[in-house]
Amino acid sequence: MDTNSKYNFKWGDLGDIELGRPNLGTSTDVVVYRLMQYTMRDVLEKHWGPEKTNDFFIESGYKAGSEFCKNVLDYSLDFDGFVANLTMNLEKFGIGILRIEKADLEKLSFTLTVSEDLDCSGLPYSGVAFCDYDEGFIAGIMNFYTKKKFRVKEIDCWGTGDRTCRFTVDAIDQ
Amino acid sequence: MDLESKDGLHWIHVILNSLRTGKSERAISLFNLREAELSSRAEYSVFLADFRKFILQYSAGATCLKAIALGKLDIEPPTDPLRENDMFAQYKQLHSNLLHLTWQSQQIAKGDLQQRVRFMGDFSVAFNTMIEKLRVKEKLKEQIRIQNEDLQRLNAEKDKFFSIIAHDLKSPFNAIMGFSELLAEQVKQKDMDGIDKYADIIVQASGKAVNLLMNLMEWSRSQTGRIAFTPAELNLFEIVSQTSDLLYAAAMQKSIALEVAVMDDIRVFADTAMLSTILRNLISNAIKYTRSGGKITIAARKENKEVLISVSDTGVGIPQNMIERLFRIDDNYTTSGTQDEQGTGLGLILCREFVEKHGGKIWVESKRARGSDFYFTLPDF
Repeated sequence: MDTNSKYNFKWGDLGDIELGRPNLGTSTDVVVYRLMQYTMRDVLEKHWGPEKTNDFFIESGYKAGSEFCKNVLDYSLDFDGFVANLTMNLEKFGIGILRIEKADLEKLSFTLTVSEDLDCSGLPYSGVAFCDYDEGFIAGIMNFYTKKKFRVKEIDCWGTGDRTCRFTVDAIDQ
Repeated sequence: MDLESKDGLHWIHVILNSLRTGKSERAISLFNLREAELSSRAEYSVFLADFRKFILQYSAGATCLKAIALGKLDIEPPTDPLRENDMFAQYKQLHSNLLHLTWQSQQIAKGDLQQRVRFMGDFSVAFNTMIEKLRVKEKLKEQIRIQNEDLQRLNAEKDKFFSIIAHDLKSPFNAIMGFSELLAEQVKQKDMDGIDKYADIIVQASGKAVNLLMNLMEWSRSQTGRIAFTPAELNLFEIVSQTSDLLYAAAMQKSIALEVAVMDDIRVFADTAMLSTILRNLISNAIKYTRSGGKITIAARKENKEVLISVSDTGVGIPQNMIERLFRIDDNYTTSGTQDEQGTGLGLILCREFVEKHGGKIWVESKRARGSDFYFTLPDF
């Protein structure tokens, strides 16, 4: 990490999009989002290698997840209410369709799927799971909500030939 | 059975039949058993590689489907390493749908009737209709529960009303009639001994009866929605002084000091009649439960956008376990005063109702043998 960096992301840095885009609106094409993400991955991998690049994506996803939870989600709700709120907002922002497959609230261990995922849905088979950013995003949300650290692992992805992204989400014993 | 006498085609049929009847392990073992023999024949050599893959895939798919059909969802659906078999993707999707449906059903069982299924075609329509019907049913149950509570409250109010009519109102009239007769008898006989005491008792009993009748009338009007609520700007000091003046004689009779500690610049937004009733009841109660030589203080102060008014006495106090019951009509608590004054408990219920009509709160803090502080809030003007 560049310790000389003075930039520290704040939600306000996203600006007033409605004000700035009175005609084009607050949404854009998924192609544009992916174009930025995959060209950035290309450049980062060339400079830092695939492993380090994955770490960058996970770390930035984590920060995004925390800020998304803090600024968009209602984290005062109980778990069931929070899941409903999260599901609604992930769809509202066009991020994906969340579904819980398994939930162990005592162990804070979950299996969830994100269909029509913003990052990877429709990608051809490559044998590689692409959603490192999503892993961080989910971990960031869960950490902000529960104040516990989580290990999030993508086990199915469009990149590995599946038609939905599947994640295991487990609290890390501290 | 003589395996050696059968030709290759026969064994392919036997293997396929094993697959069809769900005996996939037998199909695999039969294939392994005959593979070397069949490979030696030129007509099968090309076909066998594909047939092996087919058996393995079919077998994995059948095992998965069988588990799903039995509701055993703790399986890992098979993966197709070559990504050629769309059937496996469908199994995985079906498995995922059922897992999510199980989770949704668990949420519904916990009472979350907002869950909706958005997959599996007609099933989702039927499932969502069922949940909607459940939700409507739960809503109806809740409405019935509220109506039952209202009915219970109304019944308790009716019981209270009859109890007051039957007992509490009868007591002062018995005293008035009894001592009036005694008074009339003695006057006829020119026996003036003790008649001044009789007259005092008649006056006191009449006062109690009038007070009770006033409360009953106001309560009855408030219950039937016939009481007017017309809040206006009021000088609190004036209302407190007028009410305490009316009760000054009763306090003097028990040698109780009645102090008004309200600044004359405090204004409230309140209904005059209701505020007078609240003060009259709280001060009367304080007089009733304070022994001779005690003190009653009426004070007020502004707090945020409200005025906090207190009626404090140095009386007998209220047991902690009875405090909650003071303001409830269905579980009302009342005791005799220090000079055996009788009460109905209706006064405090009226107070709560009138205070709440103003958007205020009423509560009491009390210590046995040390006295009680009744507080209520009204909107500031």
